[in-house]
Formats: sequence, structure tokens, C-alpha cells
Amino acid sequence: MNEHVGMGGGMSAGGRDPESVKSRWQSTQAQFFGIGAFYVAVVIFFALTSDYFFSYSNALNILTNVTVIGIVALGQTLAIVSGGFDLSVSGVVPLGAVTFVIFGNAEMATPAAMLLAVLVGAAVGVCNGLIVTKVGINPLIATLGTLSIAAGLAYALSNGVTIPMKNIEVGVLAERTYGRVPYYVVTLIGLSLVIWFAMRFTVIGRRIYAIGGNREASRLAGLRVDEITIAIYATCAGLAAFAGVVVSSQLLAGSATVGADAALTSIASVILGGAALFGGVGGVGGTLLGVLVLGTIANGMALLMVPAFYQQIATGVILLLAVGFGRFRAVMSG
Amino acid sequence: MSKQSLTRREMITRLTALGLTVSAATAMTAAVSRRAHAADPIRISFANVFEKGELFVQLGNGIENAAELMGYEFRRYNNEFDSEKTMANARLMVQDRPDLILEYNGVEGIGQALRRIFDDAGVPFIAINVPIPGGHWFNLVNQEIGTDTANVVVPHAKAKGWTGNDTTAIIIQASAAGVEVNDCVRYFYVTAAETMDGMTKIKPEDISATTTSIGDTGIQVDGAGALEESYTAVKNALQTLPDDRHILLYSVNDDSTLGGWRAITEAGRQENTIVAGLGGSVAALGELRNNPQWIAEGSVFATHWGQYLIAMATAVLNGVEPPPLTKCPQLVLTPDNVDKYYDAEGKVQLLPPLVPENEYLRDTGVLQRFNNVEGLTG
Repeated sequence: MNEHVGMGGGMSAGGRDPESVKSRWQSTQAQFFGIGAFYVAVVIFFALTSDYFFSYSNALNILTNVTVIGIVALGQTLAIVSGGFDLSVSGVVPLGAVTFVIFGNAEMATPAAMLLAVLVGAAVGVCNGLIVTKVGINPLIATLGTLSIAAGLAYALSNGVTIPMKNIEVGVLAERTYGRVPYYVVTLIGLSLVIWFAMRFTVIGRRIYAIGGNREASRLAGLRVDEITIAIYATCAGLAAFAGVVVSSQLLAGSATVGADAALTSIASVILGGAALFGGVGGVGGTLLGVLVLGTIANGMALLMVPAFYQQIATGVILLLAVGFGRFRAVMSG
Repeated sequence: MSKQSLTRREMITRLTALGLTVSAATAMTAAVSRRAHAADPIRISFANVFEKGELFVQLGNGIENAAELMGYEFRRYNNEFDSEKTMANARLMVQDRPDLILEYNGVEGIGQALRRIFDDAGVPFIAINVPIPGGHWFNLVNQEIGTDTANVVVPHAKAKGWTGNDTTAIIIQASAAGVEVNDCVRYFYVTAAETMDGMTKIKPEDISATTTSIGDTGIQVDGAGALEESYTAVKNALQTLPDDRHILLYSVNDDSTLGGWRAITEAGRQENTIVAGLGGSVAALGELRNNPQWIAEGSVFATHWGQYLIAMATAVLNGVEPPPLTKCPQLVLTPDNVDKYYDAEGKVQLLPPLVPENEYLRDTGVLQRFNNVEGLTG
């Protein structure tokens, strides 16, 4: 999955010279492969230091651990590539989890409960998009505000308590498996493929990169920037709510405390995967790699019995080293 | 001159009359004021540590309901687990001149500063959970509840033939919550190790927030007191244990235990596990009643702390000096006694008897009004 760069120039909307775009493309590729190499190093390190790391069972464990944040990060990729970002996911994940369990416990059909939970999330995303585009408030402030509202709603709906699923069949995404692989892992792979395809091979994908590359030029080129931006935020929040559905399926319960670190971890994963915070650069492959790097490090350190305090420190240091390593390779490759 | 002396007499008369009038008015005002004061309800301010999460919300509601039942005027604040907010609330509360303050502060380091605010205002206070120097203190005893839980769990494990040679205790701490809160899991392990052959013995002080493994028979993970984090932490820990290894699972609260238990069931290892919870949440009580592996549930009856705190407040306002620590009602429930204390919906129907140190609460008459403490009738 090659990473993509905002090709605004190609649509006469980017206003960038082709050399600059080519340079950034190469830089992104270098970052992607740099992180890839780093990931291989991480895997080798933990395989050598922990007896329990290099096994099918633990690989599956890592995949199941990263699924929730992976789904959030897919939406975050869209937001970041388009030049924004979405902090509200930390509120939408618990909102999705709680609403899904409430709908499920009301004996609604599971697909309908999932759909409604996702629509609740998407509604928050539409609000984000409207606030950013129509009111003109910076995404940082806008999504910070809706984070608080969505998280507060999750607490209000659940009355601050953990709501167990009355019928565990509602947690079908976790309860059913292909072999030993839970449905939700397969869902992550499916969603990743769909979004990768959309970003890489469709007009809407190119427009997202164009808007992230140069918002004003895209508008002048006739793109419906506001509508696309609203759609992006709606998709991002809808995916976050779906991540809430997944986490409540894993836990067989809905809680307003889940997903608290979803915003920071998803943004870190997207950036680690080679996206630029100012937009126009990034992609699904890099994001998934970023998610895997963070998830694998967390898993490896847990297996090595590293205390939680030091895990936090180590994760931060490794994150900086990984990004630095990628940037260094990018500079070296010209 | 005569006019002048007349004026003087007049002045004296008038001044005397004025003095008498003022005296009478003052006396009447004082009497009215005394009457009014006697009619004033006792005013209590309460700062909750947080208004999110089942435990804290229920605790706050319980105190409010108990104060209302006693006819006390009640004001509620939210410290939001934040030191600055706690200080701001403390200043707001003393401005309001309540008769007594109930302070649930989650940040241990600011106790001295809080004490200064309350002492300067001359308002007595009761610290909940986290002690404040110079104040009265109401709390659960985590050490005791961890020990008591181990004393229920270990005989059960032994009856199944489990020993330290084939059993590992997974304890889920919440490192950021501090030593006192994590005493329950530390003492659970220490007591289990003392009473079960083959488990690695250790002193309580040797289990710290950074301890991750205790010989071959103990694993401590950090679940941050939350469902999702505990689920992930236990999932990772299970990777290091052979499938046939027996597990004793215990944590600092029910959300954590439920998260850990979910990881165990997902791994299909529930038959090899004995689990004990702490908190008495509805979900955990359901497990205790229906899940044969969930054999103990520590309850601190947090929803009913309110009546104890209001009784304690009444005692303090009556000039009683409470013991250094007034213990909350706490008990380790088992499938055999759970129905005595909780109804089928998970509501408390009876509280355990007063411990000897808490007998002073009986004298206030407050607890009798609730008619729900074992051995105390209304």
C-alpha cells in the first residue's frame, strides 16, 4: 500500500510545483519504509527477548488489541490527510459503545443497533464538519468541544455505570470467529481495504488529498470543499462510533470510560505512519503500520513485564525515535 | 439656664428612653435571631471527588439523600479529581459558612492546603477516603478487604486441589490511585501466599506500583481501574501462562475485574480460574449469583456511605470526638450470604453490623432512622 501525497497541481488546484510534490512523495515513501524497517526491528527485538512473543497466539493477541484503535485511526487518516484532525473520537468511541449496548439491550436487531450507534457517531461528525466549515472554528477547538459533549452524553446515557449486555449474541463481532480470528479483526481488514481503495483510486480520494494539499486552491478549482470536509468528519466519527461497537462487543458491556486515549493514539499512529499534520500526505498503509508499531511495543513490553510507568516513557521515546528514523532516511534519500 | 437645664433633663430622659428602646430592640432581635437560628437547618457542604463513574455518583447521591432525610441543608460540589478545582471548591464552600464540610479530595498532596482553608474559616470537616491532616477521617480499609477476600478464595482453591505449584494470582492494580487503594490487591496476594502452599511469599511493602511479577506465582498488571485497560492487560498477561495453569483473579474494583474476567473467558480459561471482585456493582453481584467461578465480592456499600457520614457529621456537631478512622461498612460477600445483603436488582437491603469503633454512631440516632443496619432497629 503505497502512501499518497496531495496532487493538487495535477488538478490545477494544488498550486505546487511538480518537483516539490515529487520530493514529498519520495519523502513519504522513505518514511513509510523507514517505519516498516523499524517495525521489523521491533519484532525481532521482542522475539529475541521474550519467550512468549513470537507465536501465532500472540500475533492474534496483538491484532485483537489494535483493532479498536485501528478503526479509529482509519477515520483519523481521512481527517488528517484533508488538513484537519478530530479529537472528538475520544468522546464518540464511548458514545458509540454505550448507545450500541443500550439499543442491543432494548432487543433491537444487532445490525440495526450497530447502524444506529454509527449514525449517532456520524451525527457528531456532521456537527464537527459544520462547525469547522460554516462557523469557521479551528478543528482543534471544534472537536475538543464536541469531545466533551459526546463523552458527557456517554456518561449521561449510562448514568456513569458499566452496562452489561443482556444477550451476549449482541457482541457478535467478538463472539464469532473465522478459525481463531474474531469477526472484528476481519472487519478492520475489510474497512482498511475499502478506505485504501477509495483514497487511492477514486475521485473522492484524490479530492481529499487535494483539499489537504491546498484548501483554497481546491475551492477555486471548483471542488465542494465544505461538503467534502463535512463528509470526512462524519465518516471519521462514524468509524469511531463503530470502534465503540467493537470495544463493547469485546467487553460484552458498554462503558463511558472506554476509548479515553483514542484521539491521541490514533493521531500518533497516523503521524507515525508518515502523514503530515498539515495535510495532503498520508495513507491507510502507513496508518496501519503506525497502529501495529504502537500495539506491538505495548504488547512486547507487557510480555517483558515492564512496569506501566516505564511503558509510557518507553512508548514516547520509541515513538520519537521511529519518526526520527523515518525522517533521517527521508533526508538521506534526498 | 432653666431652659438649658430643662433641655438637659429632656436629653437625659430621651437618651434613657433611647437606651431602653435600643436594649429592648437588641434583646428582641437576639431572641428572634436565636429562634431563627434554632429553626435553621444544619448546613452541610460536600465536595465529591468526581461526578463520573458508578461508585462516585452513587456515593454522592447517597450522602445527599441521607442529608435530605435528616432535614439538613445540603450543597454538593465536584472536585473533578483535580487539585485546583478542589481548592477552588474549598474556598467556595467556606464562603457559604456551612456547619460542617464533607471533603472527598482525590489528591493526597494538597491536604495541608485544604486544612488551612477549613481551619481559617473555623469549619469542622470530615475527609472521605483520602485523609486530610487535622480532620476527621472516614474510609474503607483496603488492607482488610483484600485479606478477607483471600481468606474466602484460598480455601475454595485448596478444595479444588490447587496449590502454588500450579496456580498464579493475577492482581490488577490501578497504579495512579496510590498505595492505599492498591492495598487490597497487595494484601490479597500476601494473604493468599501465606495460606497456600507453594506460592512465593512476599512482604506487602515489597509489592509496589512497579512490581510486575512475584516469583512464578504472582503477576501484577495495571488496569487503571478501568474495564478496557484491564481487559487488554490481562489478555497480554495470559500469553505468559500455560493453558493449564490455575488462576486467581482479583483487582481494585469491579470494572477492572470484569475486564480481566472477560479476557479470561475469551481465552477459554474460565474453568481454571477463580475470581473475586470488589465494589458490589450490579454487574458483579450478578456474576456472584450466577457464575460459579466468581466466588467472592468485596462490598463497601458505597451507596450507603451517606447515612454513616451524616451520622458522623451529627456526632461531630454534637461535640463527639470520633476515632482516628471511622470505617465504612464493609464485607466480603459470597454466594451464600449475598441475598441477605442485596436484593435481586442489586439494591442494598441490609448493612453489616456496626464494628465496635463505630458504636458512637449509634448514639446520634441517625442510623436507626434508616432501619437497615444489622443489629440496629429504628
